[in-house]
Amino acid sequence: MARIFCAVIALIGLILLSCDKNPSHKSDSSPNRYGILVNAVDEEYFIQTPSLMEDADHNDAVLKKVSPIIFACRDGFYYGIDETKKRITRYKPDENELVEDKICALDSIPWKYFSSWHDWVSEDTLMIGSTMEGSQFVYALVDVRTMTVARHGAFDIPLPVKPEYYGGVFAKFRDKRIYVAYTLYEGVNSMAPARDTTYMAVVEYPAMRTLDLQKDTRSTWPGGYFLHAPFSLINNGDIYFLTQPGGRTHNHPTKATGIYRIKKGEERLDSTYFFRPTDKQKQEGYLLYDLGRGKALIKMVEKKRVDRYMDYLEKRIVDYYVLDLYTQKKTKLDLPLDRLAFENNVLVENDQVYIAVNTGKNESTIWQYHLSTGKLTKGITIDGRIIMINRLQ
Amino acid sequence: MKIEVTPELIALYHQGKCTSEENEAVVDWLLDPETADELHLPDSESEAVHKTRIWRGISKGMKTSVIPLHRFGTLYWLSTPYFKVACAACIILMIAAFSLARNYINLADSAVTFDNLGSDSTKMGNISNLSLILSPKSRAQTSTSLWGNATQIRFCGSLEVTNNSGQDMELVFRSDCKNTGYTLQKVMVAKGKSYLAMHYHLNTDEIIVVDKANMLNLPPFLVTQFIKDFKLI
Repeated sequence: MARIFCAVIALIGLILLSCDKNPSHKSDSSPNRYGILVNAVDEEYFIQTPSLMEDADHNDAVLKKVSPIIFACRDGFYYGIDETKKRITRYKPDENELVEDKICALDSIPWKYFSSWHDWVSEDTLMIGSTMEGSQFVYALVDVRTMTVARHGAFDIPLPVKPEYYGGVFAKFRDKRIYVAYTLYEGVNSMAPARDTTYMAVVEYPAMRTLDLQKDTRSTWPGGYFLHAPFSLINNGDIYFLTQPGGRTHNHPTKATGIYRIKKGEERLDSTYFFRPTDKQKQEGYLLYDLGRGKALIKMVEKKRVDRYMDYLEKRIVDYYVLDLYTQKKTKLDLPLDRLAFENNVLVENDQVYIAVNTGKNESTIWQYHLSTGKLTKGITIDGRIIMINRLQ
Repeated sequence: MKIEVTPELIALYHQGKCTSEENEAVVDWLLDPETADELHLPDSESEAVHKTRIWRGISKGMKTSVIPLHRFGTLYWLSTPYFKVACAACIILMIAAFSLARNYINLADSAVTFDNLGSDSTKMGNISNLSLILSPKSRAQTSTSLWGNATQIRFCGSLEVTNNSGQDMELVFRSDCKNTGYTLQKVMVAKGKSYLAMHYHLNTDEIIVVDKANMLNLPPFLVTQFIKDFKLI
């Protein structure tokens, strides 16, 4: 109890250390441009800060716990889901607090958190999808102006045949189509590897009718099962999405991490493009963050650092690489090793990329990466594990 | 006035019944190398008689109750506080050694076994400060160390453990399966928290233990297993 108390006190004290003395990084006059969601002592808290690079006086900050899982932030609002209460809540950030603004009830629709995703199909329409714990693809369209479910239903994607479940899971909306990719794996009491196939359904929107189902064996386990985590991006109208057949998600003995492309104006996986950013024998890739201008960030794990599964959860094993999606080149960033967490700990602001690295169990440091020059600059350090960074203004 | 050190005074000293001045006098006498090793016997007792008794006692294997008062004699040391301190130190060292060894030796004062090996459904179990839910085809034995707070859980299969003790507690999970290549896994479980423990093999046999609130840290097929077994999420 004393340990928890001390940690909470430390968090409330919120030590923000400045390591950058360059005056060019001075924050502008508008206060609290950034919102940060941080996990400390097994609880999540929200804080605001005027700068990610320079210290700010937070000594008087009183933090309040954030209970639901915050999975999205758009137009100044945060969205959190609480599966036990069966609702989505819209929050407005206030001084170091997310204030409940409006609630959307999910109690009348089938939806499960495990193996789910979200995307925006219009400015005001949030799509949340779920595989119902691997058994059936369903969706709900939430009108975020009224915070009501506008529509919900099931996809007509072929159901898995027992003992298999849907695995991986990626979905992206583009031009009246929803691209839904998955693989199949034996779900219960079986360590059998996931199938070596990536399946991709092309679903017509808003009719929600499956037009095509493609199979591809260049890699497997497309996307992931975390509602909030990024596995894909759209660059110049082309969709890129990541596959993760590594030990942390579902180890496949022969398939390597890869990036598929669905070209603009086309509805099939690009047979001429497959970016393999890792060496299957030595590395595994997880998560794909859009940096803009054909660049992406990936979390890379050197296999030699992983002896046991618990190493994925306990050790610092992640290197960050910048990927050039055009030339298929990768560049390792000279950052401290991070833990492998499926989180939105990356923020892109024009030419600057902010990456929160969990350098210890209870501390995160934000690094600024200049996309054009490749320069890395150390920013603020925060008690706790940063799980989301957003620009508020 | 200087206090005279007599056998009676030394006896009182060993019984802890001396005043502070008497204590000081005895300690000074003990520590003073110049002090004459003279006995101050009652007038009615002969020094020669005592000497004879002493030597006779020694020759019989020290069976007499005569107390030798020579400062460097064996019996003298046995009767001093220093010896008691040494004994206490030895006992402390032994306890420390056992405490260190307790993680490697199963010293249990209360072992409780929960067997669900033959079942296809989950099984609940309770001991004083823990509640358990065993997966189908699982078994667990809980025990508490004699000299520690850690609760040992030997198990086969998988289970959920909830800390109902009202305080944080350390749990040590060990495999009880035939294959003994599994390493143990220790966790500090906050009060009221539930943890999931199971066997796994990535590169090697291991035990995975995660906070139930972070169940998505598990490999997906184990997530689906726990959802099915425990109706989680």
